[in-house]
Amino acid sequence: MADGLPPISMQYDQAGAPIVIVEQAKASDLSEVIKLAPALSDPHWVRAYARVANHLAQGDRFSLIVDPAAFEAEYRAAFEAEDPDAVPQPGVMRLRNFGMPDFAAIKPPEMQGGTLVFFARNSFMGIPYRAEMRQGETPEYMPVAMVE
Amino acid sequence: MAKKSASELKAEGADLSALIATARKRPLNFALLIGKEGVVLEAHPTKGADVMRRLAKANGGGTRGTQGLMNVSGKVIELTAEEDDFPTTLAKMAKRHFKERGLAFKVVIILPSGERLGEEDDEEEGEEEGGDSTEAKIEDSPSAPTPGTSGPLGDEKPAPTEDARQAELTAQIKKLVPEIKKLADQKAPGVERLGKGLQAAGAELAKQAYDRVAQLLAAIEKGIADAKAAAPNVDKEALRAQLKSEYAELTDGLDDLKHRAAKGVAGKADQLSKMFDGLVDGDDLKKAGAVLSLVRTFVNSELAKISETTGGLMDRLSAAVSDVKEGLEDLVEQGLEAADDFKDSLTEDGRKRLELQALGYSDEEQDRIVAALATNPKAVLEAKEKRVDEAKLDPVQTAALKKMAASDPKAFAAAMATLKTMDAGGALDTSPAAMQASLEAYEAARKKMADALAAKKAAEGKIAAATIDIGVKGIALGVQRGLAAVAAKALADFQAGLPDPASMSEAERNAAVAESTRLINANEDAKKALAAAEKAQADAIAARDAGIAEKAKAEGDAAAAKGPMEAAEAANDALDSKQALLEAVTAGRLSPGAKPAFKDEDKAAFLAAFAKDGKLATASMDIAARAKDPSVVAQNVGMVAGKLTDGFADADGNKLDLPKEQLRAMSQNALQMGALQGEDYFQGFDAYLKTGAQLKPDPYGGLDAPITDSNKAEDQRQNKIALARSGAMGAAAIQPDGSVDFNSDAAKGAMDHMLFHPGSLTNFTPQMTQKMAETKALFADGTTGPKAEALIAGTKLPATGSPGALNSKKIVAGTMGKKPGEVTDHDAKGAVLSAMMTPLSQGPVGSCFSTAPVRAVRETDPMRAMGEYSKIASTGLFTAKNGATYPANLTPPLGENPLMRSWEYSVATAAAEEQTSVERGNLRFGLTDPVNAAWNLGAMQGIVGNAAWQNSNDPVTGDIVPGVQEKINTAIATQLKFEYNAGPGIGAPPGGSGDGSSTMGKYKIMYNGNALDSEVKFMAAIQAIALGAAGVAPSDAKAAQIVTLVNGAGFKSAVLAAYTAPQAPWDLPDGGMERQTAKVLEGGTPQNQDVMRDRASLPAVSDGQRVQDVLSSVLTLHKGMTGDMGPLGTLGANAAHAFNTLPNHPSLDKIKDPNSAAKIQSELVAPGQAIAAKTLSLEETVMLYEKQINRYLAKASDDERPLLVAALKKRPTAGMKPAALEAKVSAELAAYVPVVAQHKTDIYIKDNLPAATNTQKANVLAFFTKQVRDNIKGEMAGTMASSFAMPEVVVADSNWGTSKDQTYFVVAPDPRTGDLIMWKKDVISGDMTPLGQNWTDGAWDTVK
Repeated sequence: MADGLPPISMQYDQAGAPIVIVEQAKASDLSEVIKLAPALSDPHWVRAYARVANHLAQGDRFSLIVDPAAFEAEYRAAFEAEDPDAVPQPGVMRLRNFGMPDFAAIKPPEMQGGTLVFFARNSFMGIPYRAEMRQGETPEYMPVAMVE
Repeated sequence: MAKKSASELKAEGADLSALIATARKRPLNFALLIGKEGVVLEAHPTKGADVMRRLAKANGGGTRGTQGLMNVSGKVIELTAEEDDFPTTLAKMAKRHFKERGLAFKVVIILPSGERLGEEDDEEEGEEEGGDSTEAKIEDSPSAPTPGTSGPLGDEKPAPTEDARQAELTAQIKKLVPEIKKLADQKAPGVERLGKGLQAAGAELAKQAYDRVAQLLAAIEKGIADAKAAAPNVDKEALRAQLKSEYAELTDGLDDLKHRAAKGVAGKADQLSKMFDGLVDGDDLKKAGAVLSLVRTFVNSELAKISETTGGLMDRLSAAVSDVKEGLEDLVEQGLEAADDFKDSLTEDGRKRLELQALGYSDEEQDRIVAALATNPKAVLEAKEKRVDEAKLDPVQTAALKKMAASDPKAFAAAMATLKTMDAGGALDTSPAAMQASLEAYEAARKKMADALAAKKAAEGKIAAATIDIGVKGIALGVQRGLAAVAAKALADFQAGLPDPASMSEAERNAAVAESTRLINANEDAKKALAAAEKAQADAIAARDAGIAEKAKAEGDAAAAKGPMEAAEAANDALDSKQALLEAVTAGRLSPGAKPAFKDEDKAAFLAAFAKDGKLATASMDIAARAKDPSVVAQNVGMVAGKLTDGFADADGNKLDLPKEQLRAMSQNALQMGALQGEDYFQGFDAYLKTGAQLKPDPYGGLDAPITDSNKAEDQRQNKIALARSGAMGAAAIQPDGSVDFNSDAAKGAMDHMLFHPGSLTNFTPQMTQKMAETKALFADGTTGPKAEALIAGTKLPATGSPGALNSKKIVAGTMGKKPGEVTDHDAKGAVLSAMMTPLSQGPVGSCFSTAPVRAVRETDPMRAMGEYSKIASTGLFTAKNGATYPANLTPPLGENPLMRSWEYSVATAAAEEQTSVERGNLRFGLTDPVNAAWNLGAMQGIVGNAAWQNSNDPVTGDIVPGVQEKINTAIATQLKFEYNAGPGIGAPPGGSGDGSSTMGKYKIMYNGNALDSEVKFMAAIQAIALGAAGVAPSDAKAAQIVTLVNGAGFKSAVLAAYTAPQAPWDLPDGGMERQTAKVLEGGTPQNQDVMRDRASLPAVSDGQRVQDVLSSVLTLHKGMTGDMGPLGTLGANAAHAFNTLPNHPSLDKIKDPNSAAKIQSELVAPGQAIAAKTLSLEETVMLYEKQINRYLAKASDDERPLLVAALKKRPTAGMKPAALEAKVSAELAAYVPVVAQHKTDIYIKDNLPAATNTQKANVLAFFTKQVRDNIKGEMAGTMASSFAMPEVVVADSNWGTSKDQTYFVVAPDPRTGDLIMWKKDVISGDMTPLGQNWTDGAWDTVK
């Protein structure tokens, strides 16, 4: 089913906690969102589903990767733009602090059985994470393996 | 062609030898050409290389070869070639040519590119000694193709690909291995060289030098063939029989020697017999033959001696017996004297006698003085005083020694004995004038040496530059030669081809004339250019020659300066030692009332050490004053001083060849280490030196020269040394089964190296050594040991492909000095130990907010720290307390321990992310708070319209399409970066600390790499983000509306509503992230809490009272703390720092409640005021003045030294109060300040601002000028505080430290004012420097 998803907006409440607005209704957890927008359960809307799940779990700490190739290009460009001889400082992020990830492992959001699998970029570090969310649970984030 | 006869070769050798002898004296122009009989070399000091080439050709040389400049040094003939168009084996051919003529020289040809041919020849001796090697044949045959290139006839096969060639050569090498091994088993002659050749081939293969590999393999194959061919020709059994037969002829002689010769000779005869017997039935008959030859020589020689000398034997025997008797008598005599002394020491009278005896009183005098005691109880004392008077010292020194005679008899005796030794060659004059004259004489001698060494260095630079220039000019010359030849040929060809002019038309003639003119001109131009190139080349050669001459002169000057300088130094040291002893006794650490008070026997030990080295003895007292047990230092200073004077010799007397200053520094560091570790250290030190292990090189680079012109490079060098040491120690402690054993031979050896090796005592890292000892103790402890073992047992590299696998390998590899592909589980374990053995203190870049809490864990809960290291090594990940997982940080500053820093930096990453999230939330709130939607970016909804503002759905992709509102949020999250800047660098106004102490840390929002540190920049960035999110063209009316919105007053107010004034997004709060770091490490929601408000917000008090108030507040904080460390922070101007207070430090006990305030007064303030008010004696004043100047002199550069020597000349002439003394030192060093500041500026600019503008340079110079001036004042205050043993309390661990030392914050009186101030104090060196009032004036807080 390719339709039936109401307008969904990712916002924050007054305390800064992530919330989702479905049409005019606020929801602060995924089950509430699903009730307001059942179409999210449809695998066709898996990207929207991942976007909502990521927002509720992490707010702006992670941004969903839907285009792995674009992400790779951006990452490589940013990596190359860094000065390899810059003196490292704790708390100052550079991609070189971590390395070059396994881009081949990064895929658009998908359902694997009953598990939602998506990849997201950590806003602070800039590196990709793999998130896995089993039904009824919150997503768990692990860094994508570095290969270089 | 027939081979040359030996006499012909000899004659040629003699000619060549004469040529070489000339070349030793001066460079020669040469030509070296390949001829039919090898090579032809012609050389001459003045005639040009071109002339030599013609001569060489005339003497049989061919067309191939080279020419240039020839130098000879030692056994190396160096030929600087003008071009590189000759066979690369020319050097080797020349070497062989010389060798055949009896001249064993290495021939190195230096190409214009700088490449050196012939350098590696040593490795190929075997191959070359085969005589007519493959290479030689190739080069001797003009038509033969060079290996790896195509042949001349066009019938070559296509060149194999690189991979194929590599595979082919690899296979060839593999094939040869068993053959060589077989020959080795057969002990074939020359097999070792074949093996080496194969190794060389392997090395060349790795470098992809396939042609070279092919050449080597060809030679090796030939060598193998030769060896195999040679083998059957030897009839081993016949040879064995012959050897036995010849030996039998010598057995009678051998037996004779065994019975008749002296014991040593007989023993050797027996040894040789056994050696031959052991060899003759084995495979190595060559060796058996050599031994037989030795036997023959030995037997004949020794038998001859016996027959010659038998007549005088009885006489010599008699003399020997007499010697032994006299020796025995001496021993008996000494034994009896010792027994008498011992007997004397058992009685009071006896002890008196011994004291008198030590002062040189005869037995009769001793009897008389002791007998006089019956009527004059002071008889002995008076006798001692008499000796003091006889020493003719000044009245104060005399009085001090007389006091010592009464109070410390052993020390007195030692002092008098030492003075006697010092004055043995005549009384040393230690008056200020004599001391200054001696110092100036030494400085003058030293300057001569320094000038000579500087001239040598300059000459070496000149030679190096000229050598490169020769190469460059050589290339240019080659080009010009080619061009000239082309031009000449073109002209010649043209002229040769000209028809008879008469047959030419007018136009043709004109054209011919024009062309001829052009070619003639071109030819002339080319000749001129060639002449210019030749001159340029000659000039470059002349410059190099001038450099060589200058270097030779400088070396001569240095050699001439050495002796006088050493003599002046020895004379000056002798005076210094006596002066230092007298200062110690009159005003220093051995004077009456000095603190701490040393025991009499300890004083005696220090005083005795002055006889060996005054500087070391003086330093040893300072070390002892800080030691837990001063006696340990005192009772070993003599032994250590002995090691210094005997050059750190081993049991056989083999010494270290190091400068005395370095040996002294090593001795001082050994004493320091012993002060930390106790008596066992000194025993180990003594034993270690006896083994001779100190004579071996330091594989970790501890003996390498420091880098003096770059602090950055020197820091990195030292870090690398420390890392190599901890890695080696970690690896040595891990056993083959993966367990930890610090008592294994390898671990003990590594620890001994750390403790005792000259490299470890030169590049001294006592903090690291202490950490090693602590780590070792963790494993030895009954409680922690099993847990530590289990942790290490569980430390293993992660599975390949797991999220942190590569990071883990990189970190472990970096820690253990390996490559990621090489590391094993054992390395992971070793890395954990290495990190544990590395002091965790603040690194070269600001990081206090993460270092402080991580250091607290490391110091107070080492098992947890070990667990964290183990996790990172085992997973390559760091997990915060809240479960968030981060890839372990891979980028420690160069040379630092990667695993140790990875933990700290990973914690910092997690904390910074936490803080960034908070700051980003604030900013988003300010920009988009719905309450202020009419003024903030929420107002854009009205501009872009609802449809654009809100998200929509894409039924094709199944995704949500962000509207403007969400694009703004995304931009805030992804385009605005929040970075912590630990502090601006020096030269950036207003001037940062720039020293890594992170005292000006601040958060900044970055956009497109630029800091938004002003309102204008911030608004411009937000405007750009808003326009980008709206997706409107600049010309669009909506764009104008957005610009108006963002730049309106209401917008700014709405944004600032999210911040507490005076903070703003462009001026975020100072300080670090202690709270966030605590959350990462401990979880919960820690908060900052005030310890003391900033001074400005409180009623006015004096500076001293402010420090007392801060101290009292810290003591109050301590009451609520558990554990040995707790978070503490300051927010002063340029003094924002997070560190750890030390609530249980024993120094605080004396001021704790009850009545803490009163105790602070009585224990700290009152003593300080008394010292500040006191006028120091002249001796104290001079001693402190000299100590301070000498402290700078010890590390001064050549241009700083005269300024310091001049300052010493202006010693105080009257006693002073501490404040006046500090002012005097500052005044006398006024000329020294700018010189030092300029040096520091130069280094800083080189390290950090290589493209600095003049303004920046001026800023940096101003910064360092102030710093040097302030440091002199502060360090003088520190010197006085240390010397007076000023009462102090340790309030905090600063985080600042290295493998060498660690800095504490202490509160102690300022000897200049008597007020309490905060100081930095280095734990090991004891150096103290005031911190500055700004530190106490800011707010103080903690995290709970």
